[in-house]
Amino acid sequence: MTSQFKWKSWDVGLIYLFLIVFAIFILIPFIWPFLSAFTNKPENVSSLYLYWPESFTWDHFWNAILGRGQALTLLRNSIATVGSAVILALVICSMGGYALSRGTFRFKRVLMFVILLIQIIPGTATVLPFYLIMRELHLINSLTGVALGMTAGAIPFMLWVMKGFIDTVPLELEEAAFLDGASRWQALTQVVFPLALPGIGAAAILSFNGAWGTFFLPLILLSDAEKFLMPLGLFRALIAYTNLDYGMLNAMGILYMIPSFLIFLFARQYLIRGTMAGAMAGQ
Amino acid sequence: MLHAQNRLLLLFLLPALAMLLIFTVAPSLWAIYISFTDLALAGPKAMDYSFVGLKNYIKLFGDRNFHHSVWLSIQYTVYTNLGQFSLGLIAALILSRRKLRGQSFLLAVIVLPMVIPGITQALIWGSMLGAKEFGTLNRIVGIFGVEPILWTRTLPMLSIVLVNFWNNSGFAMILFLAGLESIPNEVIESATIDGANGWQMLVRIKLPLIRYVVMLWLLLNTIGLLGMFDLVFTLTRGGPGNATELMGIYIYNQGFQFFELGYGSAAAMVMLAISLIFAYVYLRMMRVDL
Repeated sequence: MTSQFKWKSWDVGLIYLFLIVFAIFILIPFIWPFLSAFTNKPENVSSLYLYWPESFTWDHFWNAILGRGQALTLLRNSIATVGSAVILALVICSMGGYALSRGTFRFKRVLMFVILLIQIIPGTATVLPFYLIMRELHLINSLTGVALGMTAGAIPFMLWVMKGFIDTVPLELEEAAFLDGASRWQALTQVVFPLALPGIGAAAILSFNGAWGTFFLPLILLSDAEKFLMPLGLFRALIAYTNLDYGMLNAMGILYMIPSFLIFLFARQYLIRGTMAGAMAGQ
Repeated sequence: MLHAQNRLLLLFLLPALAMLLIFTVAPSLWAIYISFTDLALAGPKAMDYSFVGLKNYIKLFGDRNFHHSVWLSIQYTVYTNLGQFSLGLIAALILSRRKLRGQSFLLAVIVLPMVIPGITQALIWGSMLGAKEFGTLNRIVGIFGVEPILWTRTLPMLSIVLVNFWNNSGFAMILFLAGLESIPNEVIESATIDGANGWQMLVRIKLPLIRYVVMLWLLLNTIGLLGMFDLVFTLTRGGPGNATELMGIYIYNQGFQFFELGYGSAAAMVMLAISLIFAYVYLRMMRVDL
């Protein structure tokens, strides 16, 4: 799309200036974590600030993984919970989204409105009774509890996205399958699912990203350090006031950022498309 | 035939609904009930709690700390919205109509912080906002001759709002970009032919045509900001004192620091009500415009 405007040269310059300043604003905060995690600092300088590095080192990463950083445990827990939550949510919401798309129950509209409303409820409002319910279910201090909580959190958004994408799969294709004697389940798994795959991918990626950063849920649920997730571990390390080893913390932070960053690099389109789909779902 | 179909489809929907019921709806309903009791997390009132009617709400009404929290949350939301709207809109306007060099790189960069988890954001900005001359932000403003300060202590609200400008302006930009790109070319062209200059184009043509997207963004953003917890808690823990004790943090403190589940739930209900009021207002505005 080209504009019909005649851009004066200083207009263009101004625009570039804004974008470059904005980009710099975005990028500057990233300097310190990388500097701190990959280099050694001079003796008398605080590790909290930018410093001129002495030498490149992997030490901080070693500390993070093998030392008191416990990064492996944390990462393992994070991956396990978020992974299973996303997979579970995908299965549940594929079925649910299909039902919402093809079903004609009278209360469908109300149901979809309620699902939308649920997303409005802030987590902090429900956290206290949520804790009590988890206590009843004996899921306190368990990774299963965390995973289930994440799944439930991902469902409303994913249902909307799934329904939206399944809506785009023409009914005729399913009808052809029915004529061939397929059951509903087969229609879903063999006809609709493959065609809605891009949407499913977008939903999965966005949900993964959201769940990966879950901090509040594990905060109230977990008390065994063995079970901590990455954000929680980082947080605990941060509030231990004595002698913070920022090099190691940043190494952990970077390890933690890796999946998000990879997704960003390779699936940016999906991410953006998913965000737009989610917002437009409000229609 | 259709009936049988629907019954099967309902079965498909069951797992999702069950999960939502157990983990979202039930806690919400229970929260409403708890807010009318004096239940505590531990201690005598954990077992032996009683229904106290509106006592919690009345106490909230007179609780200066809570008022402070609500006011902080509103400020936080308004400032953040203003900043993200401006930055996102300008970026979207620029990126929507021109073929610039490095366009997709710039887009990627601006969107990048959105994928950074909250804790990491807090860690990164801990350094940015650090005290003494070495803190990155201090270094930057030091160029302009400003004294170095500990930003999170001296200007706490500014600090947390600044982080929000950084981390989520990309969201606004994406949505606005989508909105702008969906304006038909003919509209722009005919406006140009009619002699519209840049400012008029923006205010009279583009903004009105994307107002639906803008309101949608405003709705989503506000809801999210009112309930904000993770980032601010990790960055300031609500401090110094209670200078950044947003509603979410206040509720958390009530429940897990003071063990007052009943009171905390009442506060949560009020927060929910405020969110719903905002949502309702936005939805009305959207419908009226349409």
